[in-house]
Amino acid sequence: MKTVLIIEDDEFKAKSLRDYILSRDEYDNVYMASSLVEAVDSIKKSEYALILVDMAIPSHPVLMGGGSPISLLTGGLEVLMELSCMGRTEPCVVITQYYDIEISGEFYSLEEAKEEIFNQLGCSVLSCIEYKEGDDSWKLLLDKALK
Amino acid sequence: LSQKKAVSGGLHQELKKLKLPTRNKVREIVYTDEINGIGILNKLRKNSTVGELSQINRVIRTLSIDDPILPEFFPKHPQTKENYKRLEALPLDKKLRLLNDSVRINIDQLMNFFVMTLQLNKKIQSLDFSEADDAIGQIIEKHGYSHFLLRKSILIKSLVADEDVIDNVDNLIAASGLSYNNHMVSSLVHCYQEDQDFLSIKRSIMSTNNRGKWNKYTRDMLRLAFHPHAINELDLSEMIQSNLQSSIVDAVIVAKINKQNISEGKYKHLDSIFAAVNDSSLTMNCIAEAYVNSSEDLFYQQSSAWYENDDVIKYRVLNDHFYDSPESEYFTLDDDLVDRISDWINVDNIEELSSCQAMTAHHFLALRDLENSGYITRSSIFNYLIHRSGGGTYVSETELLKLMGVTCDLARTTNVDLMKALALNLDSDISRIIIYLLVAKRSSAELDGYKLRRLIQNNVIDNHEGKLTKFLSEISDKSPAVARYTYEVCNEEFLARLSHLIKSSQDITETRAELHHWMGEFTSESSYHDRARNLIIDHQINLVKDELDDNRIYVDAVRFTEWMEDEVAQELSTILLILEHSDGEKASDYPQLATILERCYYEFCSNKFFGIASYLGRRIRHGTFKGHLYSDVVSVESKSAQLLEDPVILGKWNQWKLKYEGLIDSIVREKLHIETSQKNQGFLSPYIRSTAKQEIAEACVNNILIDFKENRHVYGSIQVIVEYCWRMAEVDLRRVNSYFKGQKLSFMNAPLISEIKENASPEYEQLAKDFARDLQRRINEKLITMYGWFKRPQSVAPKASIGLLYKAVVAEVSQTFRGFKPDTSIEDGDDVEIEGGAYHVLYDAFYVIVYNAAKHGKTNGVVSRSFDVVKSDEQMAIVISITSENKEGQDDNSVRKKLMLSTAADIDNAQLNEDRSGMRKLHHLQKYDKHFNVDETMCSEGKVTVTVSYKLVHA
Repeated sequence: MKTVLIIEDDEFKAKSLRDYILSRDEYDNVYMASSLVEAVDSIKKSEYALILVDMAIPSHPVLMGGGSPISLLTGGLEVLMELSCMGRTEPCVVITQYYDIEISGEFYSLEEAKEEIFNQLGCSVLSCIEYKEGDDSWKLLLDKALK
Repeated sequence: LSQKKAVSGGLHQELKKLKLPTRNKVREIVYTDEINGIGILNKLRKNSTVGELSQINRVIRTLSIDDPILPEFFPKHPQTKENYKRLEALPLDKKLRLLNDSVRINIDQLMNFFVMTLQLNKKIQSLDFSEADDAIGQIIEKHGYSHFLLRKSILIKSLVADEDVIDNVDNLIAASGLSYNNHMVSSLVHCYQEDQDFLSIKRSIMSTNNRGKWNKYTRDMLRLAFHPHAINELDLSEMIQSNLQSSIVDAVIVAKINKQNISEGKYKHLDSIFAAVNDSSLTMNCIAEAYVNSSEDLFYQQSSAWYENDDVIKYRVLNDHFYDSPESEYFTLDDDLVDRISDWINVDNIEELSSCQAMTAHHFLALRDLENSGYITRSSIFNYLIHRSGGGTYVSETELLKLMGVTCDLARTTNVDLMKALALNLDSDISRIIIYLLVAKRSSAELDGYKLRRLIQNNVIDNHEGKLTKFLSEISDKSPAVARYTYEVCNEEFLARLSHLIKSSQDITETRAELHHWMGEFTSESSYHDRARNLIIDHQINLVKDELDDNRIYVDAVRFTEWMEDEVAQELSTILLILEHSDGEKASDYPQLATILERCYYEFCSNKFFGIASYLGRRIRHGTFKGHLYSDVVSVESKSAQLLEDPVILGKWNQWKLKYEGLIDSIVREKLHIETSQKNQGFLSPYIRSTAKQEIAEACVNNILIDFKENRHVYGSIQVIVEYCWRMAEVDLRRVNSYFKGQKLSFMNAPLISEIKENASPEYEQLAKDFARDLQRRINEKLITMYGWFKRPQSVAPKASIGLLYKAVVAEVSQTFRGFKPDTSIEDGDDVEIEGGAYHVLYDAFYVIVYNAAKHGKTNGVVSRSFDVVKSDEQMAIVISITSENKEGQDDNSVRKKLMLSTAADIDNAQLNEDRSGMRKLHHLQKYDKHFNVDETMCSEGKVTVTVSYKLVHA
């Protein structure tokens, strides 16, 4: 069974990603995590055929009456570092609604980000892709990354 | 007349020594307009020999005696202002030859100055300050003013008892501008006072705004007490020029401090005066002995008053370079410098450092005592040894823990890369935690923060049952310094990322509060307990508060306040205490406060966790902006399917959409950011540069001063800063909305819409018109909604309504008494908002009253309350009454007895005792908050009513 982990807090984007992944033949199941804590717990519990990571995620799930979590604009990097520290090698793709990614205080275009993530954090990602609502170009880029 | 004639005759002789063309140029310099004159002088300085230049200077000084163009060697007034036009720097050798010649000309006077200095120093050594004051007066009378004497005077001022009369010293300090807070004087006064954060003052001084030649003199003179070492030859030439503007004495001193750049034997008059300067000094042992009952800190802070001593310079060279951030722009740790420093150091191995009792290579026992009992030299040598080894050394856990107890400020002074290299060689997790703790605050690398979090989490989970406070307790037994630093690093942002330890948002707050409590126990400082309590109260209020408006621009005021408490409160408090004695009249007289405000505003805008940047990232760039302005607008096409079936119209429409999207994308990409070097079109500038913001900043500083004067506490100042940060942000927010308004036409793209209308077939003409109108309406509506996003939220300071407080308290008490469910509904218009610290006090009062009603009142009885704003004697107050029913079987008399506060009741111990302490706790609040009052406690007809009130500053 090939399960994909999607780390995404935006419900619409998460649904879009989920639908697309399930529409592809090679994956059977999708597991969703909407915060850093859930993402870390998920990767502790299982290994995945693919991990799609958003960059800006909240620290904790939003619970009614539970207080507000902290917004982590580079929370996705935290997940990648966690995987690297655990010696995990699942393929990861960063899918963000940003044009650039902030790494260690500097902004890098999505084209540069893959290399910088490796150089600065020692983490490998297949690609960094921009997600646009109402635009399917991200699907083409994801297809290309997964080939 | 005859004297004038003599001067004139002398001048004539002096002029005749110059070549004719030079003579004419000199006349032009003196008699032409200033700008032109300085230009000619700069050219002459460049092209003339040292001998000619010396003669030119002499003539200009004589000719321009009433309106001097060049500074005097021995000025009759203190030079603490930019009184002279800055001349272009000369190459160092030429500058030194010129100084050498000036020393030759003034050698007798200089020699006499330093003879008198020795006498002055002896008076200071014998603590005979009255005679030292006389000596200062005599030196000024004979040799004029200098910064050298100013430093001596401020030193004397810091040593004397208040009642001692030292008129000459006082006059010199006053004439130098302390009363109008001249920065050169006030920075020295701060520097020489006890318990100052020298590194912070140094950082502030060394980053004085660079306005080029317009404040070069100020910048060079300011740095003397903090970093008098030149980074290169040009810097030294400039420093000599600046000091020469103050006095030739100062120029000689700064040249001597940097004499490693001056070839010995090449400038013989300088060599001889340097020797005389050193001879005027007390020995290092005598100087250091004066500090044996205080600390190395104070010795270091005041050592600039003893620059005449060569050994003081050696001491300073080590500490000025290694007890400072290695990233500082004003020095480079090159081999020559490090070799020079190595001559002063007597320890090779970091493993020996904590216990070494002779760290430095000198024989001054008093200095040795200071170094051994202090922290600065050991910290510098720690950094030196790491630098020398390139981080490729080893230190055991035991030794590292010991070192953390005998060093200071390493987190601000270590080299991050070298420390990371060192961490690779260490063999214990605690050692690595210590190294990454030291690195954490300065490194921006994501991986460094991650490594620290991982190390701490593993240790806490494996050895401390997942409790951070248990880790702190254990580490504090080994090293209080490490425990304290761990506490400082573990702020909310840090805790939020401890995903293995902190499992919910509530855990973040609770863990932070536990850490505050732990620190309160550890240090016995009640302020930490207060912070814990306030954090929990704010959290409790947020739980019952409605969700925030997600789209409106936002700063998390509670987290911003926490940041200020951690990062600036102490410094702010120190500065405010110092400034109490200053009689500055306007905000610009308080640059230290302005610096703090700038820091706060920068975080307010740029902090990614609580600042506007977090909002811009989370809510705006992250889809919302485009979703709002694009998706909803272009969905107009769904209503006009028929019209868009026409391929020409569809082509035009697609073209319109493409342009529209491009415009939105460029705004998102370039504008919706905090301004940085990379995002220089960012809407919001985190700096206070514009006149409008500077005016607001000035008002803020004034209000901080007023608030502190009234309340003697920085809590109010912090709330003032929150308020004024919003006011400054509003300056840019207004520009954002103006920009959107200005873009309206571009958004509409009327020409293309017209083309759609014009190309519509006659049957769809009306449809095309409706389509265009609908599109314009949607864009209009979206823009109007969006204007609201970029406005300051109504609720900016931490605040809560009384009704909400009551609700939050009832929710908290209900967790203990499950059946306790009084009505907490809030009616519109029947509520009062409380801002600032007041609501924490009222929360505590509510808690006492409600808790007691739940515990001692009738089960399922009625609890009623009233909140009223009343005005009496021009004073507004909120009056709160809470009534609950007596427990079954209790009569009014017995309840009244319980409510009575016996005179013996110890109000101060109220918080330590749970049993029947409710009334005492209320009176405790009353005792320590002048605004809070317990108005009445009564019991009648089976009901208890407690009435309290809180005076309001504004209604």
